[in-house]
Amino acid sequence: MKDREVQALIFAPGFSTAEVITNVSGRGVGMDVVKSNIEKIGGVVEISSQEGSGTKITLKIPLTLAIVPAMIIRSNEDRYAIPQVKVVELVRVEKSSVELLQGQKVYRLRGNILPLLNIKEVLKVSEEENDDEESYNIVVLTSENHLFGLIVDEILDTADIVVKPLARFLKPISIYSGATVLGDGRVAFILDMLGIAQKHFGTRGQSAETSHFDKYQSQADEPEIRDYLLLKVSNSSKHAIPLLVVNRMEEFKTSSIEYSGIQKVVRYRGAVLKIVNLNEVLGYPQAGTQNEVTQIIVVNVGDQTFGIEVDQIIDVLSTRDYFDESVSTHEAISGNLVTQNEIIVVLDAEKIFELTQPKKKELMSFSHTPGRKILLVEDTESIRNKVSQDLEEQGFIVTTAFDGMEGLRKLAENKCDFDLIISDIEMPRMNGYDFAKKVRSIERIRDIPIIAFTTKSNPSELEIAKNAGFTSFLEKAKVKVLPLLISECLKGKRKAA
Amino acid sequence: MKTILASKMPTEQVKANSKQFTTFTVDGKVYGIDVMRVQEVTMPLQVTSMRSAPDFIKGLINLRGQIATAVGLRELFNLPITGSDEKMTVVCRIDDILLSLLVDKIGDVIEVDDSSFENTPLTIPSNIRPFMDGVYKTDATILSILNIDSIISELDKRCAS
Repeated sequence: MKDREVQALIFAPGFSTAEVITNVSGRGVGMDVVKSNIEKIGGVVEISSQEGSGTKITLKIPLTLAIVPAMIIRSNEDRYAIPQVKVVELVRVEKSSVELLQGQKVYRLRGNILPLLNIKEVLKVSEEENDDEESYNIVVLTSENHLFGLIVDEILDTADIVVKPLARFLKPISIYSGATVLGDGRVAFILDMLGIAQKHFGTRGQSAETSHFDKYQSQADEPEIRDYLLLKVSNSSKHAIPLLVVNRMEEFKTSSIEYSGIQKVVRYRGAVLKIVNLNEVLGYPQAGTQNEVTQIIVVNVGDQTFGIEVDQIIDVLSTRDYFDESVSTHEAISGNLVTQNEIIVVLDAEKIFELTQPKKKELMSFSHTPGRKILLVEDTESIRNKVSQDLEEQGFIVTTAFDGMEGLRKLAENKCDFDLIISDIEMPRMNGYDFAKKVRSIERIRDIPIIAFTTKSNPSELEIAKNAGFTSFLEKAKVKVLPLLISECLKGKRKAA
Repeated sequence: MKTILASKMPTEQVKANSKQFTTFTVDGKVYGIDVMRVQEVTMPLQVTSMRSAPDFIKGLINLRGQIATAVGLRELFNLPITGSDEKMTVVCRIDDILLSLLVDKIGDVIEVDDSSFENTPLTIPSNIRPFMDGVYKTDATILSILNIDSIISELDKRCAS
């Protein structure tokens, strides 16, 4: 046996050199436990010994994954760690510059109101104002997009801390997320900013027993604050739309509004934005005078974005007022907001969108005009098959072509007997633009409406498509509106004819 | 002769029909916890108090780099608080939880025969009853056996409410 192997025997379970075995020692367990525990966490323990000169035990322990940079702060004699990711900045402000709003401390941080919370309120320890200090140390924190300031006694240092979990039964005390051992061996708690924010700003109010906290508690019991955008329409009562669905508010020149088929659209951020007039949807009279600019609320419903045209955007309203769902005179009205002075009509953006989508009925209307012939030019086989199948189901006679060249051939073959052409833009050999130009240059077929069917929809594309001779423009993603567009184009043609 | 030898040889296996308990005193009464559930017994360590926690949670202690939750048995049992009585801690590990129970005084590890076990008498007050498994009669005293799992589940319950 080599020396190393002999020395390693000390780790063998049950190996002991003790002459006397007691209740607690000499059983050959200790070093075995050391080795197995170190190996359990992925470490290594080695021993090397020189007879007469000493023993070296080497422990190699992997760095824990749960090391986070933190800010160490002090409250009375306690020290706490706050994860750095939650810390926005540190500010020190004169006590006199802190104002009271409804009894709560707030500070104007670069013009914006920052709600302040004393750490002693969080920890439920008595809050004695230390009058010697002339200023507050504030840690500005962020939690779920809310900013708030935590008043602490002292900001000590930053440190990389090893996060140790708390015992399971301590989890309900939601202001701590863990603990750590500081450099001096003392334990410090890690503050859970999310838990604190929820507890104190009432998003998910936890039960707090002491009267000191009743004021927060009562807030949590009240209905949630909801935000609305107030609008003016031609009807005299105020209308509102939940701010949650509002993406942006925009102003467009009235002249910039265009039509895609019968659909009002505007070019917006490189795409075509569908515009819905709110007066129209709700059946109110249209405002008589046309302004030079029109105000549009850009709304997200699911993954769809569309614009709601209103007479005027008035204001944003944050309210806990009672929302009453009992009275609704229109599908797009979800209820009324009962405020102190007036009743505000609340709109359902999703319904507005649904109501302005082409209806099943309209889709089916094609069955009344069977036998219309459509030439579909599209290079992607799957789309070509799908669209032609859909159109055939609706009673059209569809001829397909895989690019512009073939499209022209098919036109010639069928003696140009088509009521409508639908063409992709990007295709091999002859693209949609050239194809459309070619069609427009031939006397006999120049009146056939052509719908551009494309993945792109930025304004420049739209412009080029129009110049090339396309009648209408449709994004592939919105293939559902195709029947409506077709009926519109065919109607137009009939009129012309 | 043989029996005398056995008593001097602690290495001998515990008899199949007996159990060993770590004993300690809280408020003058003797309690025992199964010795296999006890990790160690320590002198009181510096406690970092946990603000806004229930009073029986005394805080956290650093036990050689591991963090243990200190629980005051007096507070947990609703016994009068005398201040400086708690001198020692009994550390138990339950799954991943290190629990440090603050007690007044540590006694011996005693071995009791299964035959001396009896269920918790009916008159035991409700502040302690939920934590007790039963009692063992010994020559000197009657030993109340605490169940560490019951302590954990009671902690779960009380912290949540």
